[in-house]
Amino acid sequence: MIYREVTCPVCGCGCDDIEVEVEDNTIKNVKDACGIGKSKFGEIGSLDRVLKPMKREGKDFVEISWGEAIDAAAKILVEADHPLIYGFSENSCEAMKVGIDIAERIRGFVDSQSSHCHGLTIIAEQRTGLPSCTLGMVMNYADLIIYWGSNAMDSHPRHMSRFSTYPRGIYRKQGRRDRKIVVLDVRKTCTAKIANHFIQIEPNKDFELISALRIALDGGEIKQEKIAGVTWEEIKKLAEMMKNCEYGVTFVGLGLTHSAGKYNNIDNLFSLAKKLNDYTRFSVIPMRGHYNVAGFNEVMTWRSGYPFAVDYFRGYPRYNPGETSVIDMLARKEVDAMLSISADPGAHFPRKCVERMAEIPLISIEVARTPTTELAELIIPGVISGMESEATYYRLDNVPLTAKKFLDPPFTQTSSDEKTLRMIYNRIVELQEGRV
Amino acid sequence: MKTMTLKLVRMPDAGLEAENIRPESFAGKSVDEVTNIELFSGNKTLRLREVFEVEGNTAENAGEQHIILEGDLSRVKRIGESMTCGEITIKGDVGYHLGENMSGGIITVEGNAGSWIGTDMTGGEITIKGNAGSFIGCARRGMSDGMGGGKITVEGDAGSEVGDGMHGGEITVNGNVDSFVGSYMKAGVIKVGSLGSRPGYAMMGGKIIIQKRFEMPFYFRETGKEGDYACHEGDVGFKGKGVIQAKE
Repeated sequence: MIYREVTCPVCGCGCDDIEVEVEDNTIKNVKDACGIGKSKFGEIGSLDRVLKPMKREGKDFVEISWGEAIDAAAKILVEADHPLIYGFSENSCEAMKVGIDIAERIRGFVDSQSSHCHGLTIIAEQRTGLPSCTLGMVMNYADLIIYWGSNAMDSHPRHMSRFSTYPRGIYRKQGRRDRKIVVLDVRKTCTAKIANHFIQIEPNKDFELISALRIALDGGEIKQEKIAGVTWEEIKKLAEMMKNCEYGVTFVGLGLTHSAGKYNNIDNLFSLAKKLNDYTRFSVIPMRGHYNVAGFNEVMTWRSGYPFAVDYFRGYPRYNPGETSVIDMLARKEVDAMLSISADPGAHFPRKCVERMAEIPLISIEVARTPTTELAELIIPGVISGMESEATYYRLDNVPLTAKKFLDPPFTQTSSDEKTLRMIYNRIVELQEGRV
Repeated sequence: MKTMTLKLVRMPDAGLEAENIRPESFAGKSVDEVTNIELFSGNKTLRLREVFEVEGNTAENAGEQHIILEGDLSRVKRIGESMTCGEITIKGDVGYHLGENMSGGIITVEGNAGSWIGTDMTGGEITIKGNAGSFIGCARRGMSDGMGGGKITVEGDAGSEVGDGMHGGEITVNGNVDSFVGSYMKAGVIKVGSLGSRPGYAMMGGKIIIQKRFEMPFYFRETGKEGDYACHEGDVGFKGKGVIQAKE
């Protein structure tokens, strides 16, 4: 059977025009997905797929029943003094809601990948505000596209063809020919190769360049000949280009959040975009990574009032990235039990954090065996959201969409991660109320 | 002044949150009542006697209460939070959020201190004899206003974003501070020995005094001299009127 308009649950673009051919509950062919997307669709038939719950016994894992696994997970979380619930960026918003409910119930803390990704962008958003728009607006209106610290061709391969560069829009009927593409980066990336202008910035000097652009917009002058390795003439030219465009959009990547200045770089860029709105229409859109990482911030905000890194230790939400964020909590050894879902912190976190993860009881809800599952006390099979279960997700421009299900999970005990988490939540309630 | 000494005997794994260690919570109570004060570790509530040995007397009024803390308190957060009067002396290191939202009284730390000291502070005095972390006297996450009054002195070095969003009071760091000192500052004075980079980002008012020669960033314009100091005004891009004086 051929399924059309299937969603690709990989990057923030959330492409919803994929065609998948399914036969006997296995994928035969995938059309229109990028390379990254195709490999994700291929993961369904992975030999490393976790099919049964497992418990650590010495150095090995032994298979246990679903009931035993749910009970063991609930007990670990209930008994902990400072438990952590982490992950969610590849889950549905529905599963996130239950995960946050668990954190609130056990008075633990909850965080997602956004904490060490575009979380810094969100801190800047809270201070300055985000002058943003949707990707539909970009497609139909934008004539100046700037990629700053973002290599979209590699990280979001269909971003340029679907939304920003090539598509024909209502007011951009000629597509690529109606748009100017500018790339600012520390090296000539694949994205830079197809841009009209490429500006190479000295590493860690983005902040200075943004400040210089602001002065250039006001018609000011500075003494220095070069800022961040870019000549003053070139900066003035870019400022004029930004000022005179009809609709400009900057896509901002982790090149800005993870270089010197951190969220102040983003804050500076948002302030610049606000100022540009005195002359023309100008927006900034963060290039979110995972397909539902923006969703976590949305769900967390309507559940607690804060976007990520929330602790419920006192029974009410508190938020202070740097103190209540996952990396800091693990590095300071302030976590004594952890539930990791649809994330692989074992492969990505700093060594100090992974060492702590190895010391504490770790529950890993994963689709396949990963470095995290190898550290775990308990492994529970995961369901691929957006493929094996229906999911609400937020695209990188914070537009909520629905991903359809087109396959059944390879087990019958659960039909989604939301349901798995709900079983753990219900068991926690039973344990806490003494209904053992 | 009545003195009460708390000696740390046990440190819970998750660290400790001790906003109840402040003169207002001690004054007018018996020693038994003081040992029963609530402290927090992760999602558990502890009693003060479980982690501290207590000696000394309590005063009738909080203004006459002096609390002395001994031991390594580098993982104890929120000491002196919302303090209005009295005195706290810490003979050792201390953790995050010391004197947050404080409006009066005196806190002295004989060792080093963590980050977020005097966040949202409106009065009182904090002295750190060692080094301090980042975000001193800054705004709380998601807020725009930082410290509004009072005085913070750090005799050693401090981290980044000292005095972020500050709109009153005085911060002195005798040593070096890292980047982004006085960002979004509106009023008040920050005195530093030397600094890393990018001072006064989006600075609208107030004054930063640097006791060492410093090459000013291009977003501050030179306005003249005042004694031994070269004066600059900015952040030019934000049409700010903040002043940075650097020794020549």
